Amino acid sequence: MGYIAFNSLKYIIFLVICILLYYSVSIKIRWIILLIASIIFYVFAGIKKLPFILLTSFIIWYASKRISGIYTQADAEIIRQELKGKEKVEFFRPYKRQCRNYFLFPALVLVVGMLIYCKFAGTLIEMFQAITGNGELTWQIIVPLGISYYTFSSVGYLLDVYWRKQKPINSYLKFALCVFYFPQIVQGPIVRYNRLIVQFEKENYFDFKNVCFGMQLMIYGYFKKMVIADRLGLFTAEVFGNIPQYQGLVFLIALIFSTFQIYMDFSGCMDIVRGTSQIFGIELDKNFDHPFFSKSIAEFWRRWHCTLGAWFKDYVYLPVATSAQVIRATKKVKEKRGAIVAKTFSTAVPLASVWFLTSIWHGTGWNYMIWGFYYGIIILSSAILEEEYKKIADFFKIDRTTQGYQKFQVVRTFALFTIGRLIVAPGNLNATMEVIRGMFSSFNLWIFWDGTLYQMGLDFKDYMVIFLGLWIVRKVSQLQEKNSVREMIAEKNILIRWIIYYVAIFTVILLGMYGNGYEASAFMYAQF
Amino acid sequence: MKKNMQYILKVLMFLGGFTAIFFLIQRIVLPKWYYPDKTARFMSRILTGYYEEEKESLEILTFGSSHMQYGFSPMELYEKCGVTSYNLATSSQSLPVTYYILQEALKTQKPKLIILDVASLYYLDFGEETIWRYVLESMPLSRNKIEFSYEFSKQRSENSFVSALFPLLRYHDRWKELNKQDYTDFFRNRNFYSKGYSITTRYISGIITVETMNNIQKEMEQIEESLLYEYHNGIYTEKIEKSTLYDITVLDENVKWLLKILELCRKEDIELLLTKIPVVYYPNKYRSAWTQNKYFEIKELCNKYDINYYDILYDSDAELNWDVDSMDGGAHMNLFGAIEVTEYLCDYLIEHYELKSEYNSDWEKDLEIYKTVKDVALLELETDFITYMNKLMNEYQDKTIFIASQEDMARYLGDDGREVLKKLGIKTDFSDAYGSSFLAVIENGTVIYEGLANRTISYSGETLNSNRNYYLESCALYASLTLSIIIGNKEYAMNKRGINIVVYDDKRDIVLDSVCFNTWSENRDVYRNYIVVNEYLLEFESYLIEKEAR
Repeated sequence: MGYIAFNSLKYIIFLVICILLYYSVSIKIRWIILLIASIIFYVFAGIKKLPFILLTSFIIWYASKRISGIYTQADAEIIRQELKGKEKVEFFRPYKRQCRNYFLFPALVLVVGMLIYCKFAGTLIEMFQAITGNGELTWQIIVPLGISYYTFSSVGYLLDVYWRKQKPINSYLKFALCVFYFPQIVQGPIVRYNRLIVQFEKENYFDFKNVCFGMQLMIYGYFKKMVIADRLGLFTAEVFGNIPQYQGLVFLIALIFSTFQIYMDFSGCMDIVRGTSQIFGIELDKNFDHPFFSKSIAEFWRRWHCTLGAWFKDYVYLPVATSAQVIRATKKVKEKRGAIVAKTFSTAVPLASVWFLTSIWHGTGWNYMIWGFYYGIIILSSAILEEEYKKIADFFKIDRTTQGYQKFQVVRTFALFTIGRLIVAPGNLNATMEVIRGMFSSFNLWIFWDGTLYQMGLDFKDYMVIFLGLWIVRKVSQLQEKNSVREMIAEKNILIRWIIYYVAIFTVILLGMYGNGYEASAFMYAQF
Repeated sequence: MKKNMQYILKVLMFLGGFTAIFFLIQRIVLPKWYYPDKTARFMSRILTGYYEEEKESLEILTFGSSHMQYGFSPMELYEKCGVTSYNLATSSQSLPVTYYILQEALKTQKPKLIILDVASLYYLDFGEETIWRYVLESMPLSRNKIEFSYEFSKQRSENSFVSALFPLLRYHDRWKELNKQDYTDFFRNRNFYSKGYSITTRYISGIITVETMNNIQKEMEQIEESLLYEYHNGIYTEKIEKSTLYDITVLDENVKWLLKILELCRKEDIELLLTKIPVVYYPNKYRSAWTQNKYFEIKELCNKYDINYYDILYDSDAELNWDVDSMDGGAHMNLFGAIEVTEYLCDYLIEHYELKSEYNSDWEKDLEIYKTVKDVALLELETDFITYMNKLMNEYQDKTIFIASQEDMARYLGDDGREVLKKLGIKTDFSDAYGSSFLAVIENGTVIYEGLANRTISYSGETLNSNRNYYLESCALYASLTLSIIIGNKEYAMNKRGINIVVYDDKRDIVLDSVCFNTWSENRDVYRNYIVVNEYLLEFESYLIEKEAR
């Protein structure tokens, strides 16, 4: 793993030291403590990884400064010459081109190039070797911690500066803190530096409530990750690790479990991350908004890994959809094939770009390509065929406003997501095919009472913990939809409050999967 | 300011509550390393019992591995010469473990003498995790424990330091297996009447003599090359390396820890005596077999560092009876062996050290318990039919004795056998009972049932105090093969040809012994499952500790 895992004792000790130092120094220099802590955190993952992130942060910061400098110069000239309207735009164009050609593009090429090199060079070399059939990989490719997350954030920041959506951060050290900030470096969320810097620069006084709330969120995250996800992981690892040994409904259960597992794992981690950050008085963006309450796949992806979706929307979907080339091409399609095809085309192109990149983000295998294609098709068809679906529903006299129908939509979304897991959870396409074959080879209902399910790493008590855990998370999620659960707890009297805290903490300590006979499991999204 | 104080107070209170709950839960989930835990039996009693001893009341402390744990009985020493001692040996105790137990032990006692069994000087590593944990988990949190945990973690993963200090993190998943014992552990009796010694009635005669052991060792020493000839995938390879098969070098790391122990003893003005409890076993099968070469090596080491050494196997005129003294063919002592070893050690100590002999009322109470357990243990170790029956008659009158025969018990019962049965109150005349089945139940010295038949016979009843149902069945030579002595739905009979006897303590509801004397053959051989019978003893011992000991 190589870094201080959030579910390790080392992290807790590291965090306690950070908190004590953070609140014991002057309010003006608290951000420096965070910067030092973040660098130390990063160095723990390996000192060799440090140059990459330093280089990325410097390139982006430098480019943004230069772009901003050129813009300031242009603005001054515009004011001096009192230019307005079209003249102003025309005058500005060469400056913008200069920024694009000399700073934006080179910086993006370098930074994205580094990402591609670190993430894909290994795969490409392996492919090359497989084709040529000889040669050995003679050098180790270093994959810096959180490279996808900080590259995406940095690219977004530079584009915002280029598009004049935000002012650049003048101090390199403060910019570096945005890039390095340790709670978000491993698994996101993909932060927007303009929102982050404001929080670093504000006066972060010690707020007892904030600290308590942060800790509570962390404990809830640990509960999801260590009590539920890692327990489910025993089952899924056993089944997907030994596919030929199983058949029928075992795979269905493993898929459903893997769906819950990835949610509990990832959202649990996000709770730990956001909780940690809240202790320092820094609010990070939500990455999950109860996705399993979604009624459609499009909605699901807005509520799952929200910051990635938002990033793709802002920096891929909208630029592609509004690009001159796509608009021109859409016009041509409209002329030749009509409005409906043109609408399909204008939606499909940016959507395909987004889902192509989403696939690559999640993995380089063919299974991820198909996975991306799968979601692209579902979202595209639901957008384009909305009217047709409506007609079908009307034909069968289905009232789409009833509660029952909405529940059906939620279950349908869950099922579609679970099918998506079938494409990637087994590991590769061959394994997926094997799972599909195995799943339909037997309708072995008897596994529910013949003890088969107790031979996969979980006993009766584990299943009880899982079901109770899922029930608690569902209840909490329902409450969260209406109110802040932490606020609700805060309103209770001290006895009830403390009982809740103690029960929560000791549930994690006792029921968590860690320690003897259990290797601390890596968070599933930490590989990106 | 006032608000800040409120916050601080709240946090402190919360942390206080957290700590209290943490330690409470930790106590519950900690494995209870004592009977009926089959893996470690009395491990956690050794240290917790030690803490119960009156301050500065012990003259001698002994350390070492299982050899010492089973080989030296402080109560025997006390009974013989009035000297108080405590046996702090634990299973596979390596020298660092000895050092930290000693440091812990010296917090409450000022002994005059420390006796250390030298088996651990030949250890190649510092042992498995459990070996350390038995001890670590019995210690309360202290500076010594922190140092001990640190030493432990140096040989394990980095996380083991924290989990050694706070074992809840190591055993949290025991929540699944918690039972009544885990919750009632708070109320258990911590005093350990036998002062660390593990009494055992397991019994397997010694397999080889001292001479054979040393001869094997000499043969092994002559093999100085490691030879390997292999055919694999059609390729022939030959590997010849210089390597001795029998190495008796004491590792520097072990010497280092021995010197630390020595230094600690000298600093505290305590004499250190190294000793070796005899271990006679195949040196090629058991690394701790105590060969003469090892003895010479240790002797030299002791001379070098001016440490006293007394080897019970080679320095004394000890004549141990390997036929009966060992629990496992020569590697460890049973009760007989421990009594003898303690006696030899006692003689040596009286001669060489000025030890205080003093009457101690608490120890007298413990001695009573010890004697009670020992008596049962000696019954379980008894192999002579007549002596056994006499013991039943004289010492077990208040017990319930179930007798059932299989095939025939009369053939070689003999006059003395018939006599002793008569003394027990059995009226049956066995002079013409060849091939008959026979049953008898003797309760509190009175025969309440006896029956002889030429075919299967059975009898059932209920015990007086414990109200257990019992059922007896005996088979004759020509009728069936079944034999049973069932008490409370559990079969206890040995089910062998001859006279099968089960001794049952009705008041305590515990079976004390199950034995069969083959009176069908002339030797009247004894049949006993010593592992099972030793469990009866442990149950009896455990009962006494929890219910009757101080």
